Amino acid sequence: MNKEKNNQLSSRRKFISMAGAGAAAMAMTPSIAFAGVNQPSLDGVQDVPEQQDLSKGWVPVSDRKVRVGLVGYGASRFGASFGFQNHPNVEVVAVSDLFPDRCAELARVTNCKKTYPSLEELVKDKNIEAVFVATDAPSHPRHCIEVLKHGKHVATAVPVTYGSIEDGERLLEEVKKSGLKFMMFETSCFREDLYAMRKIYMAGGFGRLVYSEGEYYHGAPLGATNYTGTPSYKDWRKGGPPQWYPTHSNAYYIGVTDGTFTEVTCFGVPSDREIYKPGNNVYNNKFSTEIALFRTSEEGMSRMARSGDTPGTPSETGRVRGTRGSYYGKYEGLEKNLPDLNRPPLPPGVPAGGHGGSHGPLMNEFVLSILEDRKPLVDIIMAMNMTIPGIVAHSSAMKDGELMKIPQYKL
Amino acid sequence: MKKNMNNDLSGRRNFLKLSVLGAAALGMNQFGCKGGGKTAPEIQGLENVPENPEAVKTWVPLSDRKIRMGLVGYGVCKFSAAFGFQNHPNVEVVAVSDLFPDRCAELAKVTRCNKTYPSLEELVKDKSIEAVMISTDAPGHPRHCIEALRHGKHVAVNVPATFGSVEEAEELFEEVKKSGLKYMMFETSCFHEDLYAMRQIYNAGGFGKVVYSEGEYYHYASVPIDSYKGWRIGGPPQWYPTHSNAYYNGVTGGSFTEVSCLGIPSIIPMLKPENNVYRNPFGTEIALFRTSEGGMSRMAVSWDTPGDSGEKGRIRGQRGSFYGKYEGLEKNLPDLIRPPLPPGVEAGGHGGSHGRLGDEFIASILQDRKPLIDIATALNMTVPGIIAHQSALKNGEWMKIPQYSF
Repeated sequence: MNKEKNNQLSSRRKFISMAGAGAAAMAMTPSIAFAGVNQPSLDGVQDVPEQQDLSKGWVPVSDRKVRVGLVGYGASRFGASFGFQNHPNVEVVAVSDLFPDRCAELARVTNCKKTYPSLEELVKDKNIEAVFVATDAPSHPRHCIEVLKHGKHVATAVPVTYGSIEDGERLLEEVKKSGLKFMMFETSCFREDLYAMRKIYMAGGFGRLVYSEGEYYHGAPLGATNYTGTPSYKDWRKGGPPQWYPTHSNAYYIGVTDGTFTEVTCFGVPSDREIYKPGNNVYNNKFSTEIALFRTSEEGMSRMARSGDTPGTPSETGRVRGTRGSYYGKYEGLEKNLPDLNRPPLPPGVPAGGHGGSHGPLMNEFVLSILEDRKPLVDIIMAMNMTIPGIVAHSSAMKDGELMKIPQYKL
Repeated sequence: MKKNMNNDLSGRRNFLKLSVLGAAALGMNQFGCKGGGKTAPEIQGLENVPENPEAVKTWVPLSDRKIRMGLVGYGVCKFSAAFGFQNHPNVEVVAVSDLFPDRCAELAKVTRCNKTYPSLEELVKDKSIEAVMISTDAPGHPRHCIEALRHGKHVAVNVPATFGSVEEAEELFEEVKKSGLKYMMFETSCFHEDLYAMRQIYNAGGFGKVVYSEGEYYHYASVPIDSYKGWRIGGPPQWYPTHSNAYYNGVTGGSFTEVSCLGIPSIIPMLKPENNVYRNPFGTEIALFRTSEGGMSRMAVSWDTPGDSGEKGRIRGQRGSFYGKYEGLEKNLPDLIRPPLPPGVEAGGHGGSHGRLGDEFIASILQDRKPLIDIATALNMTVPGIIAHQSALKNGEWMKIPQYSF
């Protein structure tokens, strides 16, 4: 039942028995978000202290330097937070942000000399091989297509498309046509617990997944008054349908198994917050909590939850239960010989970074997929299978929970 | 927004700060049935939990009256002796019964009772008995309760109120209403430390409207637990829904109005439809309920997934959430400590809920008031699971749920 994939990066050390991986991730302190004053905190973006030497076991696969462009330095400062500028196999050739002050700051923190006023200008630079797109979510598909059309590999922040199945499918076609690498930086995939779940699943330790659940709870900080949400380009975040941002939670099935969701029934709960009142957002959306029940491709099911209007500790987490075992903070089950559950080593100088220490590993995986000319972990298929179900889920919620079919993506 | 109920038993001390209640319940260990015999299989969730000495209040007697009780059923869980009636200062155990003579004798011995009857039907004819605890097979619950009520006796029963039959639920509902007697279902989750705290906070407005809640009863069994005439073999998971559903119904007093439930076909032999009398193909059923206050709940029951287990839940409301502890906008929380136990009565199994369930039932008779889990609440916890299973058999079709109020 071993299904080890070519995108498994771990050094193939022999089986070790696991104690309680994921404990660090579960005990995360909320909202340490960004350095700097006046910055709103983005729940889940915090760094997690690593216990071991991150670079232990790292072996360079090449001395080549991939020439990268970084785009976007908004509320989350994502253009710089994945550590491209620290990777020995990367040269940051140019950076861009629509706002000149942010663009200058991005250049400064990444030690890059060249800036462009827009993504559209940056991608014309023939010297650039790969672009990281950390722009506003609604623009992700358009920006990624633009990059691909200029012959460059592309990595993008989540979600792959924001509310538009058509945009997503257009991007899918473009990726297929291009033969270039595409990767979505879904942070949950390199959380300590999810990464371990994936390894155990691939080694057969869960059997078939009967039930899984993921959740992304992220609301106003406790006690905050006049909280207006995370600032965003042209206010794209204001009042958005919760399930249009589904990848942090959906990863707790899709990212574990490579499976898909086939059908969904989703409930939306009308919010008491002003921004969700009729006419107060461009999405005509009244829900800030949406709970989706998905049927999975292996005949199991998943509950995937998003909530932005219920106070409490924010979290991006999940659990799985299979016919042979479960993972609730740790593995418990029938399998005695577990595979190596450690995340892949990072090159010296690359920090693990935010979202449970996932930023560094995501960036490193993207760079490796180029150097080794292989599929990255979260490729276009997985990205679509994580993102599109949320869009359909919101449609189901708008129809009072009607059971709806979900498009399936395969290469 | 204060909705304090007349069945709220807490000493009405003034507000105190909450630290990390529920931690004990969340970290529960696995033991078998309390006092179980050598061959009794382990049943998850029956474990005892040590009492926090600082959390013990002083019990004040309501009366010096002694309720004359009959106890019925001493099967795999030995339940009729597990709720402390034989030690309660306001109870006299008049007679006991079990269909198996050896169990009946043992029950008499452990409850220090001299009178036995060969069946419930015989026991309820005893005119000196005022109230009966029914710990029989789940399919027998409605019939046995009706029998006790018709003989003019108050009745307490183990979960669920009815096993798979909505018709029997309604018959029982009518009988309870007609009788004017007390009926209480002993749903153990209601006196878990965390659920009890959630209820107090909800009633004090600390959650606002509950937007989302989830409860779960995970209990892996690859071979059947012993049961009378094999009633446990291959039963539909959502026919045993009260441990999980309590994490909404028991917190808010609200009800579920609609359900979409998905069932997952099982690989365990007894959970194949050809191998059980219920023709049940599912070992896991996950229900999505619409609630009476416009929110929703995910309620899960799983028999066929090993590993993490327990009877647990969490809630999120507009003003706060409870994930092992309260976090929210309300600064002044009410008293969250569970009611005190009478001297000599142990907190007992299922997270220290047993003794309190017994005491609540007795107090409802002494004070002539509704018990915490009355017939309406019992049916609002039980019947949604039956409808959920029907929905699962129809591939998740949305179905309406009957509503009970009394």
